[in-house]
Amino acid sequence: MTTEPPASNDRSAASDTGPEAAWPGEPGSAPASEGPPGPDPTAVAGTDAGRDMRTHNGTGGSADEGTTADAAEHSGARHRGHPTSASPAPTEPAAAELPAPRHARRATDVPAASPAPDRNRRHTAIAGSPVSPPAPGPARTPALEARGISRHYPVSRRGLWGSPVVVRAADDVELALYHGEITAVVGESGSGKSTVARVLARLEPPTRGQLLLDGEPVGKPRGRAFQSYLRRVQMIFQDPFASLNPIHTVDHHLARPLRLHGPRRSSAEVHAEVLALLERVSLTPAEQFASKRPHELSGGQRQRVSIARALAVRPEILLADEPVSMLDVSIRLGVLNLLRRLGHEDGLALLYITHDIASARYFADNVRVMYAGRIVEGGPAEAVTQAPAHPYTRLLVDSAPDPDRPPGSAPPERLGEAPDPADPPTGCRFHPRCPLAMPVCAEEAPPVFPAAAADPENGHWAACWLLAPEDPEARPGALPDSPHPTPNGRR
Amino acid sequence: MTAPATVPAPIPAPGREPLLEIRGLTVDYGEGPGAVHAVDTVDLTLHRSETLGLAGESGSGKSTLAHAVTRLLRPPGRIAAGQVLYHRKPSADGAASPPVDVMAMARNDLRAFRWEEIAIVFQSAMNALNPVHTVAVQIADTLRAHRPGISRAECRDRAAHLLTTVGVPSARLSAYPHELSGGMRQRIMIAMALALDPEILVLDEPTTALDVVVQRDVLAELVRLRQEFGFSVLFITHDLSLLLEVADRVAIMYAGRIVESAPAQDVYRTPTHPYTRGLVGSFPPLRGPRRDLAGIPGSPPDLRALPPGCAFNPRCPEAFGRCTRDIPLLRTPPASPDRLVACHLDDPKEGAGHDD
Repeated sequence: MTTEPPASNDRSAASDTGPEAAWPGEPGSAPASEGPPGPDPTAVAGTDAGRDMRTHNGTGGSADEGTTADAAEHSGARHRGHPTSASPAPTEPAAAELPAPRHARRATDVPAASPAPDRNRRHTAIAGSPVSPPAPGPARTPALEARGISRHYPVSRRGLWGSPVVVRAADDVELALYHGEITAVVGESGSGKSTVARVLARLEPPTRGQLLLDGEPVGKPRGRAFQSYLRRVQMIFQDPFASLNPIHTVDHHLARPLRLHGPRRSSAEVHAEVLALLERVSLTPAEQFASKRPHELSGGQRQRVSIARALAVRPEILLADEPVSMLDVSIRLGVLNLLRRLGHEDGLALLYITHDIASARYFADNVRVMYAGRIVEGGPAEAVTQAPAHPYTRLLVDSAPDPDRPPGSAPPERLGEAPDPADPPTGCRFHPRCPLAMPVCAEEAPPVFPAAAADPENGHWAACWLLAPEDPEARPGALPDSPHPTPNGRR
Repeated sequence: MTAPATVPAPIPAPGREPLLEIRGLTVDYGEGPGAVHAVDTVDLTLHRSETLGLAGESGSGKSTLAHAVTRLLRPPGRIAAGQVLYHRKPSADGAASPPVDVMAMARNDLRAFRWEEIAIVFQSAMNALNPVHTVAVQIADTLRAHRPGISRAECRDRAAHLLTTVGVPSARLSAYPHELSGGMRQRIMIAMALALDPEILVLDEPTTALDVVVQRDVLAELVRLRQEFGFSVLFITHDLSLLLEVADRVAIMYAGRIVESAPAQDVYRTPTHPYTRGLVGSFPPLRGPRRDLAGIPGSPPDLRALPPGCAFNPRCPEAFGRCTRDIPLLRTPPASPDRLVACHLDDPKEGAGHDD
């Protein structure tokens, strides 16, 4: 890991992360109170790419809002449970162009799910992106919601005069985090899961799409509102060795966010609060831990300090990016259990990013599976891990080490490697590796279908053509959150 | 810290022929009283055509052990004591040659021993491959060093064959490491390790840097290759759940010592040492009922300041008086003959523990 330059680097680290160069001068706006003293490797990677984005971002918020208005409206409408009635009518001509009759039928069969009948690829993609499942309660407002979030990184050009190569780290991601609930995002490295977390933490601006905090669209990354966003949404980073500054004591790490974001307090009050925080993350005796420096702590203890630091500003949403993958197995559960207690008992909305689907099952209430920048499946953790609907999720589950796997069971087929995010496959991004791919998979991005035919209300869905209903009459509600049957997609 | 006086040698499984016997191996970092015993009087036997798994947390000494066994340890690491006996294949006329001690090998013998008899695959293939040479050059390098007369064409054929064996298209021979994905690089490392048909393959966290899907591919390939070539594997990883699937036998290491070793399924079904029990309980299951798991309380030990007695005692829920006094020795518990455990819990002499 890089050794961080000492002190005062938190600001530069922060301003390095792209557009947030436009942060207001007051120190109060540092994210995650101090952020990682050294930006983590992904941040660095993103930074170079982000340089081009910066100019683009000068117009940041407003321009983005403009381009995504439709998308947001779409998903927003669906999100509130209204089927997008705009779709069925123009579907027919488009469907007629399609070669295979089965294919054509499918395209029309899913009106609510694919409000993208005009063969407009862009549009299709948005429609095809997973929508958030219906909230468990009737009208719960998500604590934090991402609508159609995309994050692209321009990396280089093909040749000197070639067109710029864009890495599509995340595309049309829809995600909602609710208070008191843990949502896991599972995916391989390079699937874009960390990018989503960084966009949600506003360490980077989305290329497209909109963030809503408590149902309110967030504004530009500046000023008081932005500072309050940074307070309410905190992030825990993967590497506790890099996210704490080696020259400062634990006390300093925890006191700083308290001073930056909290009301004016005396030193004694701040210190008392630091001790309370340490006790909250089970670092006792707190007094002793407060005076230690990071190198005196074990990995698990450091990660607990990171968690305490995130909690210092009383956030409502905690984004944990692989919080335990750098830790020894024997202490992972301790940290996970601590996070779960915080999520469930203190009503925090928690995003848990991981590559380990077994831990997602253990820890999270909801699971989203991400592949090559898109969310391909989502639903309750038990449903997704026990009855995976998307072939990719099945592959993930089958690939995870599992001592209970019956011996001699055939290993899953070799399916090649993950796609190049700069040049993702057309249609469903998984189709080149998918053992069940059909012709339609290469042509059109699949919309969202309910995964369990028997119980379409359980909120389990997947973006896969395999789930497209054969007969629209038999299963009219194509979207899990569509309250009205829309059987009018028939030719 | 006092080393135990005598350690009973591990009992080879019935009908199994030992291939590599590690006896009382101790590896220190540093000298004198301040030395840290990264590996402390370890006894471990790898049998012919066996996959032996070695699991432990970071700092438990498992990688140090791998380096020591192959004599790749660099200062300040120092082999303080112990033997590593390698049993050569009986020659064609059936005469078994006496085992050789790897620790006492001369430089030249060692050069021949590595790659031809024992090969090692490291965790980070990116660091293990030379970025300025193509794959072909790197494989040829090994072949030329060990088969001086080999021709250019033979080299190339052999390298191409090796690549296809591990499932990489032979066209990739002319690729540089940075042009390959992580999974491919790791496969190429395995191909290079197999270049001279070694008897033993030491895999030091070979898949830790890979994604689960690729990891499974590489492991499946390894299992297939093992069936094809019949080499033995010493598989080192922190991921016990992985080991339980791929290994025949699993040894668990804690603070430089082996605390339990048993057939993989026994380790999973009936872990005996409290640490093993904790480890097995630290992996959230993918199937079956969802239940609360506690993990292991406390932190991994600091090798510079190990507690007296059993190194695990501060974290052990069942520690009692004797655990803080005596270092438990590996022994076979009466109930399960296949197993070796270093724990006072079911020691018949438990009551007599306070006579020292």
